[in-house]
Amino acid sequence: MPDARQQIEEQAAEWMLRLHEGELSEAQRLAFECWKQQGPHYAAAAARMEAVISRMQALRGKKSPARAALNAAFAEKKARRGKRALRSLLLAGSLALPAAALLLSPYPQQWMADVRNGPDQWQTLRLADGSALSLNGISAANLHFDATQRRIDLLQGEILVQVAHDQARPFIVQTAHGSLRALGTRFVVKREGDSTVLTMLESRVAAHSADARQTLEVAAGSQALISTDSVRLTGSIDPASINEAWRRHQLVVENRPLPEVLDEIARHRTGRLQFDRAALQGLRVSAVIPLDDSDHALQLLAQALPIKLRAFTPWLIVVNPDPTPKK
Amino acid sequence: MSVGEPPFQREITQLYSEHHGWLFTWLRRKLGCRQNAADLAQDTFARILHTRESVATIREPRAYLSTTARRLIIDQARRKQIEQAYLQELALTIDALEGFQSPEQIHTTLEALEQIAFILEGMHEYSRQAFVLYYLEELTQVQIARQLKLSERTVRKYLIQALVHCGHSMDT
Repeated sequence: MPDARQQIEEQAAEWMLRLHEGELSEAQRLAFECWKQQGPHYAAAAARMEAVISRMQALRGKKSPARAALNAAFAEKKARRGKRALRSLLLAGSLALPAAALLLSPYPQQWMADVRNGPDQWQTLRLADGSALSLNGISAANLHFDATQRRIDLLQGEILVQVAHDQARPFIVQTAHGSLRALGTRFVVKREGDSTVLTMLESRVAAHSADARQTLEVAAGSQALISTDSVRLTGSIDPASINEAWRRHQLVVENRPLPEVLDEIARHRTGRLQFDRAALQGLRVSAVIPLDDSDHALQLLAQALPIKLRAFTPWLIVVNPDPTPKK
Repeated sequence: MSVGEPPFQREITQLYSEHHGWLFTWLRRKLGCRQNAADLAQDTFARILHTRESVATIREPRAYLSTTARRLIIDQARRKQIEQAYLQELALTIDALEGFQSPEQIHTTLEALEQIAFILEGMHEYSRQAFVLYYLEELTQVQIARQLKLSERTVRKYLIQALVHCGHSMDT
């Protein structure tokens, strides 16, 4: 009798709400007990609902991630449409992207960027003026190209720029920390926490801090750190090996703390890489690491260093120090 | 059932004839749609056929069938979205949460979220939102009414619907 069953379920739901709305009086509690004892279906219906409610309540300690996850579970179709639309706009090759349609999107700024690159991806775009822009890992940039300027706003990640010569329009890469004006050239720009790293491969760039107080001309083979109020040289690099690394999708590191290298690998991974920064800070790395195969990259590090990898789903890998020495 | 049938075929045929009716009824109540339920029931058996694991030794065939159906609804892509959203938000709110989340805890929570997503599947949009706001976010019915721009009476009605739906989802 489906109707009778439906009725029992609705009554059970009523009781669930009453239980949640406030303390039941003694009489009410008794009434609920009596209701449940009318038959096996009654108590079972209430028990099933209680089971779901307690599963929900168990997540209250992590409300906002749990909510984000459930939203994602049911926003799926919408999100897919959005991404597809963005991709087709990019395919259209339009540089001055009409962003208005995307402004309504719930995604942060990066998701609406003119060009965006995901983990496990490398792409090189030929720009309208003949310049080339390569992106690696999780990176995003907006392009502003018109009759008077060629400007790239780097929002996140790392790009390599090969600038085509154009006397009339300067070529500028801008970040929150400063701007880099190319004097005809090839260079890499990377955003880190509160600074931008410039690596010069050919010719020169004029680097300005965001507050416009500091300016420095950086020549090929040098690396500079730009923050909102300063520009300084940090050392020299080998342009040939960096060119090669970009070509082969590798990371070249020379005596860097492990957490920095893990940050870099994380930018190239879809899943999350979790580690205790302080515990790993003492380990230093000099290596050439494949970035287009981050699983392999992590394995290489685990072979060379006293660390242990634990994979909990393909989406979560935890790196811990390993106190037992390697054989 | 012909004599020449391979054993696996026979096992599946038996599973099908004994439990297809139950699976279809359960899915129809859960999804509230006859067509979707029929498709999903077929897909569930197709998936089992495809894996070619022996089904003769399954002790709880209904649990097995419902788990397989769940994997089809919350598929790889959707599971990935749940995980990514959770981990991303977790990374942002890690300081506000009490204590560090061990990987095991994260794993358990993701499993729980996946199951909840399946339970909520097929629920009316407003019912789902009201249900999550009420039991996860601990909002009052008055606050939910304001947020969803509905009357309090309507919110209560949606919560009742949500609870009935949960009952159906769990009724395996």
